[in-house]
Amino acid sequence: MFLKRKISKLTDEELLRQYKRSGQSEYFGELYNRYIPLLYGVCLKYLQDADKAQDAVMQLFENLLPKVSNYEIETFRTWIHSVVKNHCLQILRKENREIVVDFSVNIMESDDVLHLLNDEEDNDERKEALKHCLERLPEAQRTSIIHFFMDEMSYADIVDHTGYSLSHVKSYIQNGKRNLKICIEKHTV
Amino acid sequence: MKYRRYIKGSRKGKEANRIEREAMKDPFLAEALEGYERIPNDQQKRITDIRKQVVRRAQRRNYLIRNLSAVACLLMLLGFGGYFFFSQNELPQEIATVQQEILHEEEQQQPVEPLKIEKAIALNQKEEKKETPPPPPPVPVPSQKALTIAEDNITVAEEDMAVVEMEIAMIEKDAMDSIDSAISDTPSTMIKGKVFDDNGKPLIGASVYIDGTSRGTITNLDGFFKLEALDTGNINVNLIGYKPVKISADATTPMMHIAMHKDETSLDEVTVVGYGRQKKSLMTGSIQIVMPQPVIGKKAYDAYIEKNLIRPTDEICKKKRGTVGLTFYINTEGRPYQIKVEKPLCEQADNEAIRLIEEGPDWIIGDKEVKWEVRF
Repeated sequence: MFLKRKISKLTDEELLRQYKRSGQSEYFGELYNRYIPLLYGVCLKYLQDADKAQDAVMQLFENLLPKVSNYEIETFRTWIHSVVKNHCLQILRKENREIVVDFSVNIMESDDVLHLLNDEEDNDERKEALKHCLERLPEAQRTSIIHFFMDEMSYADIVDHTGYSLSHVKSYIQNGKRNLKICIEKHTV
Repeated sequence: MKYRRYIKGSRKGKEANRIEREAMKDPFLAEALEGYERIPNDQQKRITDIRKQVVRRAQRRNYLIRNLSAVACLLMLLGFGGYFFFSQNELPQEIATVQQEILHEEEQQQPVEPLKIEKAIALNQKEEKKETPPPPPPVPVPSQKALTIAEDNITVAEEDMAVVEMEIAMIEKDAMDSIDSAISDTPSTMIKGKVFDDNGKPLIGASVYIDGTSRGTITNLDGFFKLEALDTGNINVNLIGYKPVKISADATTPMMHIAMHKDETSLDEVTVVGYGRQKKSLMTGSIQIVMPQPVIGKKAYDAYIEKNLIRPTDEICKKKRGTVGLTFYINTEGRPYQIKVEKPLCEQADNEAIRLIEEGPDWIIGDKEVKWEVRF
């Protein structure tokens, strides 16, 4: 009631604490709602159906409401990601469906190359190495990386510009980043 | 909210690029975006609907709990009242009334807060205990004797309450305990365990499977798993970001405790394991990290090298003894590529080493860089 205005200002961890302390479901409801777009999206990825994804998100809420206070959660965001993935995978198991996991997205590249490419680094040696290594990349990888990081073009833009398919653009960028990482490491102390 | 346009399908321009770059660092966002890419229409309305549903559900539950805990208190206390009322039926009527009065008073003093059901019972009992012995009854007691008897009964009542309190605490503990206690009654052909990290924190979503089979599962919110055991063998535990664990399975242990250590270097490496398509259960939950191996095995490969090695014939190289250090990767066909000389010996020897690897037997696919030495 009078809490409603303040609730939205609380951090994730504060909301959790309040929920643990008072048991009032509004706190957890507020917290969960913050993540609905992400949770729903992940369920869409695994279940590939809007209705099923919606049910899954609601079902997860039902499951967590009584249980969440019992867990020691350091960072809610990371935790809930793990939990929703687990939840969707279990649903898939029950349905006995082929689980097609697209690994190209599961690779989280190391941050240091990203920093370099995003021009967030000041190290001159590495910047030089980057220039040098970019030259040595295969053409498709080099083009895609330059478009994406330097020209700030989105995947869809690059598709239009180069004629490569969307999945190719993504994998060129992926492989290009990895090759750059290897090359740069060789050329710096 | 800023993702709204991207989700809608507007994926061009700098804003889209920014979101895509953010997704590179954020696996949660990346997966969600992947989900939206698969469904053609705009999901915004659905998201709003889900949010409304959550709010409604939260309100309903609060209301329910509030009422249920009040009802629970009421029933509990009436139960006690009734117990004493019926077990002490030789007492004069006044005493019985006195007891009822006392119990009613206590009941009124119960704070009716919205609490979860499990905790509600225990907490309310604790509150009672905290209170000093119930205040003296306001009803005037006819005789002194009756009063003493009433007081005795109150003490008895308190003791009994204490006993019941303990029982309730125990029941609550059992209910709140993890699945451990429930599972311990299952037949012993089950392998059960919990997976932790270095700090003792349970690991969720780790993939646990029986070595050499496709039989597996993933750990739940408590880090717990159970698997049907065939006979003793090894189980593999994998979780991205952690060093894979292979441990011998033991169905006789009531609860295996498996610790996983963080693997800082492995996050950007990926594996396409083995010969062809993976069974689905192996793919759920984690990615295995594998160092490529020669298909025929290391020993046989070394033997091949020795057998086929052509010694350099030029002046510089022919007398040289030593090793050439090479690095290379294995492609999806099991063939080496990007062969580089890491540690040269002399030119002809280096080239010979490269030739041997290039023309040599196949490798089991893996994504890690291979380091190999060829001895001259």
